[in-house]
Amino acid sequence: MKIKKIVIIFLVALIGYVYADKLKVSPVEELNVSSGYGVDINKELSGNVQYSIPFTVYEFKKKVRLGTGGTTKKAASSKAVGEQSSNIIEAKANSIGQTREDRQLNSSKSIIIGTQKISVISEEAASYGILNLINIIFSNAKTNDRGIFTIGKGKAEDILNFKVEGYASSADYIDGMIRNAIDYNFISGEYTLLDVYVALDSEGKNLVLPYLEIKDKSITFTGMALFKGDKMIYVLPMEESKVMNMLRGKKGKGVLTLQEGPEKYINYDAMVKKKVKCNRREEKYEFTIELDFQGDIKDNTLYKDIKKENESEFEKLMEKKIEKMCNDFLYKMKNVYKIDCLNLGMYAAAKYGRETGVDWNEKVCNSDIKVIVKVKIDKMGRGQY
Amino acid sequence: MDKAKKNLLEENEATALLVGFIIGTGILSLPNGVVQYAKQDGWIAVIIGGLHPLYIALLAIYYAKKHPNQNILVLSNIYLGRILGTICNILFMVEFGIFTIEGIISVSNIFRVYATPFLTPIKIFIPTILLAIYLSDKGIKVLGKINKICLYLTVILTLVLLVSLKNGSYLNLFPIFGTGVKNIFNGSIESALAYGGMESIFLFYPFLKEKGKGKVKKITLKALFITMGIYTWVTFVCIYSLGYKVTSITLWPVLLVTESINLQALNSFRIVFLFLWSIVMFKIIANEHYAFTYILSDILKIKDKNKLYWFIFPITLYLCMGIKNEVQRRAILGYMVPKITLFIIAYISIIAILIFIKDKARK
Repeated sequence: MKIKKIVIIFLVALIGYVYADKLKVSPVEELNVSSGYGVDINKELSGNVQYSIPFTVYEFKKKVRLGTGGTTKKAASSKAVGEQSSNIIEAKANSIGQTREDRQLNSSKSIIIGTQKISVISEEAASYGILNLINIIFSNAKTNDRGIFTIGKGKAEDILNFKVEGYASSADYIDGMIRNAIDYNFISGEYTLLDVYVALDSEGKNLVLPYLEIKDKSITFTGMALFKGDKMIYVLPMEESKVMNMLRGKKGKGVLTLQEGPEKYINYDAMVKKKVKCNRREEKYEFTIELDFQGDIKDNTLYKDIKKENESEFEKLMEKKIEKMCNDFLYKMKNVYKIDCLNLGMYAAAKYGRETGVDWNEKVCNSDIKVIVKVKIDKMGRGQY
Repeated sequence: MDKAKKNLLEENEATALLVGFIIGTGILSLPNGVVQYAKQDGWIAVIIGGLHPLYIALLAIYYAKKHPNQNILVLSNIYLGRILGTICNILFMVEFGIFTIEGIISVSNIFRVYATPFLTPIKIFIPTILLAIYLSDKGIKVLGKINKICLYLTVILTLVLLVSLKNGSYLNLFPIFGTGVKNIFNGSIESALAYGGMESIFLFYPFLKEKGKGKVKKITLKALFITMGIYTWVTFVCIYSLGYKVTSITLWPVLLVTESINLQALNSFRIVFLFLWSIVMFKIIANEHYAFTYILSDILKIKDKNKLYWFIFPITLYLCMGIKNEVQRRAILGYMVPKITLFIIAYISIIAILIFIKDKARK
């Protein structure tokens, strides 16, 4: 019996060694853990395109602070404080997979791919097309599918290099900024990689991603980038994106204002729910979008009092204002952008059939879109000053 | 007599064993295959595909009624004669052999992509085959108990997929029946292949503890509904949250769906899911291997299974090494499994007809 036990233990040890031999395990300080990456493109004159994909990696530094005085034996305290900051590792190559080789040449530690929280794609790269990038990301099983995709103005490297106070890297800052943006502007927060995979392949759906700029010494979320297929076509400023998000998302939160002068306005912080109905008459489609707003009056300097009559008057005025905002945006969408950025094609495809060869962008832009708005006031705060 | 009775299967264990022969590695890739033809109606195709195991279940009930103590190996010798019967038994055994190898390769592929890319295939094959041999050596009672645990695990894991519903849109399922009956039918043929394994009931219905009236009926129909329910639910969730196009691109759509479920400490639910699901995958390999060796020892009339294992191990290992990756595996399966399924259906139906004729003749 004893021999059997010894043999078993020996076998287990041997097998463990053979199997774990190829396993690379090292402490995190000896690895380059990446928090974000950017995608830039250099279009050369010969027609070649060079991909530049900088990685932001964490740097784990130790700062040693010596304690004050040395009078008592106890006070010989030396604290080692770990400080996190970040660095950029550059990589340039003619294909995205090859940038990995180039990147490792610029790095002293092994680089882990797939841990990224955000990716910043430069405007130029997005207009060129993100399909190649999505291909390699999708194929990698270790990719963080809940990472966020953003578009940056100018070069992605500049945005990643930008030092933000209090954050280890700008990637962490951007990640927090976009995740928390859903509180206002009717932003839906559906900008993760999973959403990108689904949007690129769904009939009647067009991708929309956050647009970042370095403005006034900080990185700000200034608008939304509109995609047609996998190429970026337009960038919408935040006021227009707000209306688009209102009409596009399943629900959202934002602030709407009735303003009659620099000091007379009402601020209405509302949550919106959307319903879409689709009809087809011969070749022309009709969409009815119902928006249900329910929210609080945050601030009222327009009316002296909010009484019953004022309430319904406010609701009607707000409804008219929102309808006008939506109709203005719809006019622009149909005539200037000519892209179905509200994903109305999805509803039509669900009702009338998929893969029928219909170009939903064209059909939706030639269709009648009607917006019906309902506004309801929920709470009014503590009182009016 | 009591000791022999102890080794028989309880009703729950038999149901679990039957489900365990069907649900295994296939569930992770089933939505992919079905959606290629049936597109957004993949879940309907999966329901229709359930007709195949339903037919086998009904035949099994008939067999058990007429010959409650003789399994199909004995019956084929009785009704088809020694030579033809033995040939059919060998082909029956080959089916389980193919499913064993297919399961092992599938496990290896999934692990090498998602969990342990640093392992070479042979390092995964060897422990898996040894594990399958060890488990199947323990006998059917132990297998039944293991399957019972795995059944609970399967149901719980697939129910957790409910959480991913908040990330999808019901529009992905519409228009229902939009793909047309022909495409749904083709999709259901794909799913019928994933339902393969129901025929194992013919091997072990003599092992039931209680052979009363309607016991086999209860077991098979319960197992059928559980399997159909789980397969349909999984396909439904994949199409709902991903849409049919992404489902047809991913090799393992279910694992992509688990990525969208957020867990606090771990990056995604996929890790936990894969870890627990690997237990289910090992179980089906052990099941299929047990069926294979059971038939083999019956044909060769060898009681001591250990001698068989010495042969089976290297042959299985050699065959597993032949298939290089997932895409190749699915192509080969797509070629072989329809022929096997047709053979099984024909074979079982012919014997059923012969039983019927002999029964009538006796009366």
